[in-house]
Formats: sequence, structure tokens, C-alpha cells
Amino acid sequence: MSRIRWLLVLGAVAASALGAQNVQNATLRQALAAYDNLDIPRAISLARQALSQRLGGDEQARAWELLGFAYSSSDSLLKAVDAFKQAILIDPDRQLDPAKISPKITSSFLLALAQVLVVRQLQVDSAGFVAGVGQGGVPIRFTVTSPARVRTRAVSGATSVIIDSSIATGQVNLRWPARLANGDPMPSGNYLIIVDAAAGQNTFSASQPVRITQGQVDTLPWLDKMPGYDYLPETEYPPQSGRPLAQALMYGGAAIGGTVVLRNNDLGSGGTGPALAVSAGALISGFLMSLKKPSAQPARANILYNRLLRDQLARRNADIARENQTRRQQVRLTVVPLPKTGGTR
Amino acid sequence: MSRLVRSAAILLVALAGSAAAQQRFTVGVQGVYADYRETSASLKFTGGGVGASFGFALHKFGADVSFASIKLTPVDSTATSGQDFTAKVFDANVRWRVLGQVSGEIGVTSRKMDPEFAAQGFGAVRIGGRGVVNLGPGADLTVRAHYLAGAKFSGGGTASFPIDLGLAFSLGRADGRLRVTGDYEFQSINRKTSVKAPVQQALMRVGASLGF
Repeated sequence: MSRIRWLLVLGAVAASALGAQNVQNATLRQALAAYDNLDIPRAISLARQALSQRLGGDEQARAWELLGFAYSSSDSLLKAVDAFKQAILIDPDRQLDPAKISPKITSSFLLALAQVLVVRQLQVDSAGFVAGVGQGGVPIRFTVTSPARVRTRAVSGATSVIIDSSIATGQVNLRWPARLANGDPMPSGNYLIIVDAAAGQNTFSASQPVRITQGQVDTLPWLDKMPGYDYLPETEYPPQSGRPLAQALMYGGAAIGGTVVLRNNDLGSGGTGPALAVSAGALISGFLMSLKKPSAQPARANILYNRLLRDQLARRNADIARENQTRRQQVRLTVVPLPKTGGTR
Repeated sequence: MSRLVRSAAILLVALAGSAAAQQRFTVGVQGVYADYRETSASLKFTGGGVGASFGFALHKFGADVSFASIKLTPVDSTATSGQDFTAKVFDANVRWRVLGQVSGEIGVTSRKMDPEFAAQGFGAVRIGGRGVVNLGPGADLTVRAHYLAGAKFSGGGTASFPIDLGLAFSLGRADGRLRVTGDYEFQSINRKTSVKAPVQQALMRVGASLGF
């Protein structure tokens, strides 16, 4: 009794997950309707009947998936796993939502996944980077369902570049620097990122088209000043002082004193008149200069500071020139994934 | 050949042009007052005259030439040995700035009397230095001291330590184009013949100078 109740709940949830919208084939539509009505044997019968008819790839995958659901509901685990395997091989990116689907069906699906070799959910992210600089690269992600030798390539016409080759299973994350074997950046164009997985006789390939565009790397602007630093005035006006008068007094006094000391006593006293007159002139000059606004004097510290600033600026601009020279030789690559055309076996 | 001459001429003009930007000439005229004494206190002369000067400066190098003609008369008119005479004073110096505003200087000085034996004619080589003190924009003070080496006198004799001291000021435009100048020069010459015959001269020049 409890099993029947469980199946009813299971069916109701699975029915909403399957849905019958956008199905062209009438038999498949009826099979989906039968499953919705929890008529599991009829759903299985109609689904098998639909598979014997001409179906598109998506409808085939849906029919096998419906069989997987129906067999899981009717406790035919092996048949359910086989049906899911067919569905996965047709549409490797097929995914069940564990929040909506019962664990019983999900475990059958996961069991099927582990038994087939497919490359699922191949994703190439958009990326822009400078070729050959730092850690720039194109992120590539995919999942390999069972252990296999996995070879990832970028192909465009005759050009084929190996991105990675390794033994892998589960989630694989790659970063492709988008360079040719000789180190040059990939030329602009449309490429196909192909992931080939091989384990014994089993092989599987998945692909994702991308467009690579080469562009110029932005150059750095010249600096006309150091950010956060301003030039200081290179002259300053010293405060008014009596220094000129004192200097005139000192040197005038020295001239008179020198005259008095050096004059010959045998030649009589006096003779200091000219010294006094010129010293008076010097004193007047000193007095006037003491009253006058002093002339601008070079501010030595500011001159040194400005010189350091100019040196720094010149050094920075030289660095910028070198960096720009390097950047002009670099190539900026922009990689954009294009709409998928589907995986191939 | 003509190409070589032309290149040399262009080079010379370029060098002259760059030097001209830094060189400076000054021309001055002065009124001169002198106090001249020799041998004894009774032989004292004072008088006035005119003088002219020419200066040149380029980088650390400087040179000046000055000339003055002074008519001197005895202060004591009763002195029997004193008579009027004219002294022609000539000075020339070249200098090199060695440290800051201090220059080493070498030159010649000459003083000729007319009539020749009215007073002692004198000539010597100047060896010394000068320092310039900038009092402010448009005012300078100059002090100098010279040893008068190899002193020669028209009346003979020697001097063991003749010395010359000077003080000068200039006041005017900050660019130096026009200045009022004052110059004091004191010479003390301990001349000896068979006896002591000292010579002393105090000279004041006041005038104006043009710079260009």
C-alpha cells in the first residue's frame, strides 16, 4: 500500500519534470500523458512505440528519459539505467534536478552516467587578457563521466592547437593562454574548442565554438605631475631685518679702524676723512636696504625638493615609456563563446 | 677651405653669443678727493680731481681699470718744501672668484707726479683679495686688502710691508645698470731710504657707474 502511495507521489513530481510541451510526435505526447496519469505500463509501451518511429534527437532523448523514469517507477532498475544511458548518449548535457526528482530516479540516472563515457557541460567563459602576461587565459570547464584520456584542442581550418591532454574524470578546469605552439598569440578568428575523451573502444567528443579577437593593449598616460605631490616655490622672501645696516656698520668700522691702525704716526694724525665719508655712504646704503623689502632668495630646501620631484617624475615617465613600448608590442585577446551547435560522438 | 673658415666663424659667433649673455661691463666716472702725506707731518697735501673706471666680469673672472688725475696742494702753505703738483693714479686688477663672493686678485698700481720730483712717484704689484657683500637688491659693499709687492719709488728707497686697504659701496638699480658709487682707498707705505721716509695716501672716489 505504501509502495503505491510512494509511486503516486513519485509520478506526480516526475510528471511536472518531464512535461509534454513542445513535443511533436503524437505517440510520445501520449506516452508523456500516460505517465502524467500514472499509467506506467501504458507510458512504457507508448514510449517504446515512439522510439520505433522517426524522432528528432531531442525527442529521442525525451523518450529514453521517459522510459528511465517509468522503469524507475516500476522498480526495473537495470532497464531504467539502460534507458537513461541512451538518453545521456543522445544529450550528454541532460541534467535532473535533484530538488524535484525523487532520489530513486536520480540514483538510476547517476548510475547510468557512471556507466557511459561522455563529456558534459563543456563551458568556455568570456575572457579578455593580454597574451603572454601574468595568469591571463580562457577558463574552460567540462565534466568527464568516467576515467578517460582527455584531449582538448582549439581548431580553426588547418590550425589545431593542443590545449591540454591528460587522464581525467569528473570536473575538469583548464586555463588556456590562447597561444600557438611558438608562443605567438592566437590569430583572430572563429575556433572550435574540442574535447575528445577516449577509454578503450569508447570515445566521445564535445565542442564549443568561440571567437577570438586580437586588439591593442591600452597604453599608460604620461604624468605631468606626481599624484599627491605639488611643486614648492623656489624663491622666498626673507623677513625684513637690520642685517644690511649691521654689515655696513661692521665693514665701515673696519675700514676706519684699519686706517687708524695702519697710518704712520710720523705723518701726523687725521687722514680718516675719506674713510668716514665712504663709510657713511656704506651706512646709508645699509640703512636703505634694511628698510627695503628684501629680494626673493632661492629656497634651497624647496629647490632640492622640486629637483627630487622632477627626477621622480622623469623616472616614472621613463618607466611609463618603457612599459608603453612593451605594451605596443603586446596583443590583447578577447575570447567570446558562440552559440553551441551541439556535441558530436 | 672656405667651408672650414665659415664653420669656425659660426662656432666663434655661437661661443661669443653664449658668453655675451653672461658678461657684464661697467663704466664709471668719479670725483676724487685725496689726502697725501710723505716723510713728515709737515709734508701733507690734499686736493681733488676726476677719475674714470672700467670693469668687466664673466662668470668667476673679473677685471677693472681705473684712472684718476688729482691736483694736490700743500695743506701748510708755509712749508718750504711743499709745492702744488698733479698726481696721475692708475690701477688695474684681475680677479678670480674662489669661494662664494671672495676673489683672489692681482694687479698693478702706479702713481706719477707732475712735476716729477714734487712728490714720490710710486709703482707696485698688487697681490690680495676682495670680498663682496650684498646688502640687498641694488646695494653692494666691497672690502679689499692688497700687499703692494716690489714697490718702486721715483726717489729711490724700499718698503718692507706696503699695504693697501679699500672699502667701496654701490647703490642703485637692482639690475646694476645705474649705480651711485663710493670708493675709499688707503695706502700705507713704510718707505725707507737711509732714513725713514713713509708715504701715506687716502683716496676717496664718489661718482656713478653704468652697467651693460
